[in-house]
Amino acid sequence: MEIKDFKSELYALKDKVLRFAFCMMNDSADAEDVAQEVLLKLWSKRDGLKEVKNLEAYAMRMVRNMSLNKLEAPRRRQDSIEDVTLIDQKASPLKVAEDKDLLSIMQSIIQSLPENQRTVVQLRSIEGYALDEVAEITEMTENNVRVTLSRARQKIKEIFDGKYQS
Amino acid sequence: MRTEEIRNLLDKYYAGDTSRKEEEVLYDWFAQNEVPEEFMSEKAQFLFFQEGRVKKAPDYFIENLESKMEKNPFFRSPGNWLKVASAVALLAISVFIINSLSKEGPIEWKTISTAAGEKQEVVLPDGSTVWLNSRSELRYPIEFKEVREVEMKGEAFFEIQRDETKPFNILSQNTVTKVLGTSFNVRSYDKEDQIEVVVVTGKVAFTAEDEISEESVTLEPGLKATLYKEDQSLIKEENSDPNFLSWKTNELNFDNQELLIVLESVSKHYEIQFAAENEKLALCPFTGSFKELTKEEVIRILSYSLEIDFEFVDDTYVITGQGCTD
Repeated sequence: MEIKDFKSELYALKDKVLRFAFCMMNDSADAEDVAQEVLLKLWSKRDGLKEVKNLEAYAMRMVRNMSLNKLEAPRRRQDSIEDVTLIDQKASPLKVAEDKDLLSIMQSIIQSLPENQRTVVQLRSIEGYALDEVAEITEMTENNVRVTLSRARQKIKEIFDGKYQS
Repeated sequence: MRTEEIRNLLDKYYAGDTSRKEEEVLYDWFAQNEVPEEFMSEKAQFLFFQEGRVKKAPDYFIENLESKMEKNPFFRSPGNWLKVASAVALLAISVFIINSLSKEGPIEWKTISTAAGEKQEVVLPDGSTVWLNSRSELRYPIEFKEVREVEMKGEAFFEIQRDETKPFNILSQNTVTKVLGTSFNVRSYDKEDQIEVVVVTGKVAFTAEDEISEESVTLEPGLKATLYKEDQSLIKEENSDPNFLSWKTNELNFDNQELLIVLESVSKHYEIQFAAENEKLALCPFTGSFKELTKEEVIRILSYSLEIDFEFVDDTYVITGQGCTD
């Protein structure tokens, strides 16, 4: 076991960390800053990491807290959602134009949700965490996570049906 | 699954009570083409989530991170490292639960990445072996179902176990390399203008596809396919570079080769750049082998035997000298 192993493990987290940062910041440049900062902090603090039971949850919690701090700072830019390109869309299975429309509607709906709802949806539905893991990352109770998730899902449906019908 | 059952599952979903397994059932069901109008909202939701799962950090993000990490080197006693690293390794396994698009439900995937200057050997679930070159990434399921399929970026040498019933596919950028059992090298760095596949043993089918067209070549030992990304042209030819596997063997051999060719191989192998003002230098012949040498040693040997000087300026080794007499 050498440094490179730890490095690869950190690298393995990078996509999740960046996706979550983007979910929080809604701006690709800001998201990249947050993600870099989190990964570098983990890197520089690695001797203390053995005290941490769940490194991934720890990393994701750092992303959220750091993002919330930055969002409170006044000089935040507001990017329009359409302009955001976080990713190279390497393996997108979605070729049909209709699907693309659905995706962009969903993107704007998700971004309009309150932060806690957006967060639990990202962690559960995209990253696939168990409820207790989401609870650990967000520092909410498990029941609270369940309730927030349920509200978020209903709200998504409600807004979508409103938009799609019109 | 009947729509009635889907409705029931969705009630549970909106109440926040579905298990992850039940949610995977929903993902799969909505991934099918014909979704009734009443489920439009759910189709959109699950599409969006599915799409969100495949987003990857861009290359420049990784490069940036890497260079910042390098400025922050770290030395610890091996004992500590063992503990930290094994704790993290356990975690990494839980990280990659990614929904596969197959009907069989979720398959766990693993991703192995290498940093600059780092190489790694990976044994796949079917016993095939992959050697990853520096700054590369391999993604594979912990168990192969009816096809053996992996994704890669960067450069890798594959030694694939023969299994006629399960073809082996390598996806990289917009290409697929299909094999039954062989060994071959794939070089597919995002930053480079072309993708190259060189076959050592067996037979390989290499396919490049984009939205409009699909083009394929079949390769036998000693042949190389090159896909130029700019115009998507695909060329099949003899492999002229005897050192294409140097990154894996750590050995470079030159037999009366022109300096230009030598420098090309050395530059690829050590990930360094050269420049020369005197064009005559390009044709100077060189014979020699470098086995497990550092770049400094290689440069010293070249400098000594060809009577040329190397000066390191802005990431580039600038070469000066007379050129050769004959």
